Amino acid sequence: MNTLNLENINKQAPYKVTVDTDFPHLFYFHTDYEVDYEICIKSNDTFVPSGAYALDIRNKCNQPSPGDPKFRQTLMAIVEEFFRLNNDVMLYVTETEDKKQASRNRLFVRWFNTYEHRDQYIIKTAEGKMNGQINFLAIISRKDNPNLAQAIAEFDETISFLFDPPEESA
Amino acid sequence: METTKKRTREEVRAAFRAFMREKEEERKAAEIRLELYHKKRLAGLI
Repeated sequence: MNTLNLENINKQAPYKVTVDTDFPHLFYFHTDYEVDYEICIKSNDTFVPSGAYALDIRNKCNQPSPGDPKFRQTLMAIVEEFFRLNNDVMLYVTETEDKKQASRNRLFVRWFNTYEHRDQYIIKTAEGKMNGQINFLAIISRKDNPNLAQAIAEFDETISFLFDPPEESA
Repeated sequence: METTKKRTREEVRAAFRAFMREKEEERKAAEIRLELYHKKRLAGLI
């Protein structure tokens, strides 16, 4: 992954973003609601074998986040800088047992859909059960990614294998 | 374009479970990193 430019991120981000110098794929910021976040963008080929990057949003003890537009803008500043420097595929994957949490998991995708440059991207989502757990997966890419067709085909194949067939879902 | 090995349903599901285990381990490690970030921020080092 090409290293993201922190200065560019902070030009767009309402919260000051810092990076772990030992781990340049980890980004940190603190919100007005006193919540510290770690954003991780790490290479992963589980879902798209030809190559992708998994996005993770973490905070301490999974603290709930109230509706915070500054959080959304800060996260999108990091995502935008990723795509500016990396014409690759990004994946967002979550697993949960309860529907309320599943709804929160989809929040990132709802934010992405209201992103001002949304038209430059393709986003595809899938949701289903595997062994009783609700899994939510999203693949995001710039439309001009030369490997987009292969990545989407691999993502679709992963989904077809991953989820329980309807008759197995209780 | 690089071709990839044909995968089976079992391989994909096993890889997914491994991914989720790693994700959970990473989440625990992140708690420690976030605590360090919190302390550095309070100390004015960030």
